[in-house]
Amino acid sequence: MRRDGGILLRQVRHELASLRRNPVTLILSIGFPLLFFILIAALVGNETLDSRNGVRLAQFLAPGFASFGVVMATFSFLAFGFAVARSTGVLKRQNGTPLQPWALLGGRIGAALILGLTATVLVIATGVVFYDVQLFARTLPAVIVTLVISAATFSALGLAVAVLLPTPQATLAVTNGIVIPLSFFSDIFLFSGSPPAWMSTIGWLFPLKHLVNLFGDALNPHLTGNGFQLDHLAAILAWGVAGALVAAWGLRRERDRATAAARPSRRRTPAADATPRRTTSPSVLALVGSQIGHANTVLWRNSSSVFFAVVFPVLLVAIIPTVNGGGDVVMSDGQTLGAFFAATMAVYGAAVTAYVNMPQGLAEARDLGVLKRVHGSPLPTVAMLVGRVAAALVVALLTLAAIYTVAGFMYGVGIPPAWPAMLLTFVAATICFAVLGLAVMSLIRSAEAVIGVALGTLLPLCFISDVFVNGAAFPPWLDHISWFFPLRHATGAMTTATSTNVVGSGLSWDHLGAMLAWTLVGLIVVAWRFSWVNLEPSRRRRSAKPGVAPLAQGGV
Amino acid sequence: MPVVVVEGLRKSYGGVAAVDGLDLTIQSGEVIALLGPNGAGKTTTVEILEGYRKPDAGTVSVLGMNPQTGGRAFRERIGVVLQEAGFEEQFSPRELIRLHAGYYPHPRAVDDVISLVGLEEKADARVRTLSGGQRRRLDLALGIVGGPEMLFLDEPTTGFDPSARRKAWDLVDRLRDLGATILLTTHYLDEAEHLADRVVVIDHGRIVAQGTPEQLTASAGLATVISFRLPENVAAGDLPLIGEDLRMAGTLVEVRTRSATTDVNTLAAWAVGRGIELESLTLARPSLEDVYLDLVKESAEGEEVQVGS
Repeated sequence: MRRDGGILLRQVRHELASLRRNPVTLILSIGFPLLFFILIAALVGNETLDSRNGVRLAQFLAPGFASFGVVMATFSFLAFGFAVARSTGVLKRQNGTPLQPWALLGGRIGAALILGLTATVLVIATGVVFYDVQLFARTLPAVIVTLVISAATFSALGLAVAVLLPTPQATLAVTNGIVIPLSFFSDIFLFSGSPPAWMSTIGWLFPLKHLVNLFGDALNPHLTGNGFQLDHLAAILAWGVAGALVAAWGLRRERDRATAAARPSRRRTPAADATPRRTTSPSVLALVGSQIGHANTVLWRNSSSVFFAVVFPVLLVAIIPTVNGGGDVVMSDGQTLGAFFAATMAVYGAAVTAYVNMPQGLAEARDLGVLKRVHGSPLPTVAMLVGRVAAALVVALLTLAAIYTVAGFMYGVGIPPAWPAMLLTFVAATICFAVLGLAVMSLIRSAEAVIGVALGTLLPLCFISDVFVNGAAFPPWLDHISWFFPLRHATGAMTTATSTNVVGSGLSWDHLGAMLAWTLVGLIVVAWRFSWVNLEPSRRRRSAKPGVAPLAQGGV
Repeated sequence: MPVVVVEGLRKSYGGVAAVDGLDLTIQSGEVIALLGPNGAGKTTTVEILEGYRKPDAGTVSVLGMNPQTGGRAFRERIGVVLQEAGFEEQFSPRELIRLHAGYYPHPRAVDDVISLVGLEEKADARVRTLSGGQRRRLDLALGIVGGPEMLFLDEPTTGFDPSARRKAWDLVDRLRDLGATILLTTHYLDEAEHLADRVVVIDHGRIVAQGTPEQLTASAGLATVISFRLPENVAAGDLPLIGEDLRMAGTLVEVRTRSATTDVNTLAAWAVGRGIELESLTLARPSLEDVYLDLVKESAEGEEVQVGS
């Protein structure tokens, strides 16, 4: 028994270390719920609701975001970590050791649990310290029991999803595709008013809403009692048991599964492959064309990039206005909520594709040595980079089209009268994001760090740039920061260009100028720092020594 | 006409010389094998020739151009198979070969390349489903798709099974017949012996020997080996005094000699005189491996002397 406990502890420690070294996991599971909480508390106003007992709005926000942290850690990241371990063969190697399967899974679940609880504690502690969130001793046992049961349930569900999906990208896309919409259905991102009844009904079918409500009631100063609500707990437990059964079935099947399921694809081989395609140097235009096609396929074949850049913004356009009273609600400036979010979500989708996904894919190719090989071919650097930027533009434009289709269908948002200005603004913004993403990729050495930096800068900026939240009154310093970066200029220019009561051409030259300036800065960085090859760490250390010239990186 | 001319090439990393005064000339149509232990400077040399790295000193000319400044015109005429480089896993070999074919002015037909490297079965599967050897074949395919005049192969067959290696050798032979000049690095001496017109052994960034495999073995000054099994009722001390060095491994006797004709004659006369039939009697030239190990050992000893003095 003792020995088993030791093994489990060691596994948990190992998994925690591996989580700690992965910036993306930490940002998304611990940083995000905390950041969301702080920003939302700051934005919707942390007003005092009841002067008698000093209860403030944050009291009702904290449980939701704490729950969100638990789900991200135990569901999304447990599943993603498992999928990565499987795809890299780590799982297979561990299966060949005397380590028992329960210890292997126990280690992962244990680490996820600690991660989730850390996120919870951080959110609640921040609430207590900065926003006077009150905790009640009478409900503390119920809170702890609820959290542990929920964490176990979401772990089981996470494993169940992971064993059913083929690749890490698919796992990342599907888990987030479930968690984020479900968060809206489960009152986490609900700040005012009440959602339509059908949303509420769907929410109750899943365990997250039960967790949020248990947690919320336990922190609700207007209620009494110990906070145990057996019906909610039973609903969560039922999901846990179902998840465990599916996971167990899947894991048993896993052992016999071929490592790489080769899909027998019998596509017809094109006749053009039988003969050489040309006898002269390809023109730069032809090269750029083939690069656009290639980079486009890179983006579309990565299911997580498609999800975050395309599906997610479209989903948010469908959800956010609906939750906030409907897309045809007219705001103070005369625009409808639906039209406003259509414009900002299009900007958001463009930013994710051009600033995060495209540079990340290129950084991955650099890590793998793909770029090094391409550098040995006659393809000019410019053709490759222009191809990538243009491919991001294609994906962003398709996202824009999808968003306006959904918004038109749901809220009757039509094509804006100044549509040429809208298109021009959108193209300028996307190119700006893409060039800046390439600049980040040129300055940072590993693909993992690239996605960390890109998401870590984009997502906080979204909150202060009218992307997720609109019409909030910021403190002046935050306002200054937001106007420094190009994202707010992009949303500003887009909402102006898409306005129905547009004056003049719809082009906002000041915003466009700011984006152009950023684009130029990005171009300079790319020209100065872009490299096809990744320096090996040992050589990087050496070249960092004073007096030693940096290594030639193979031209460019 | 020389395709590659290298003179006084030097390259160091943080004060450690990886290439230390290397001279090399490769004639058109030649197949050259660069041999040497790990860290000898093979890959650095090849990557300088390919244009990836900038030399600290010396002149380099490939196809009459400077690899550093040759740019697109230069890379249209070379083919590169790197020692280690990944793929975009979400593509199929055919898609990647087709993409690369689009970079060159005179590409080979995609189907030809696929069959040249033997990837027909996996041509339309995603790269992530390919085995290690199949990935290496795809590497090779991307290196030759542009129909290069000068082909660089950095350890092209590492990780291949014996039959895949034979096929890769056939491929290199075929490319040679088509007139390509080929520079390959390898750890396999049989590969160098089979493929190369000329073998260049480098160590510590310098050339320690070069020539055809035959020239190398002949000029290495290594002894020929006479080996046979010691008959049961004969003690080692009863053998005639032959050669420079006699070693025993079980009942196997190995005699190193520089006067093979005389020594074989002496041994045979001795055996015939006693009515003994010598089992497994062979006379062997030193192998390229012997020569190589001897060269590399010598170079390492030289280094030790330098450190000691």
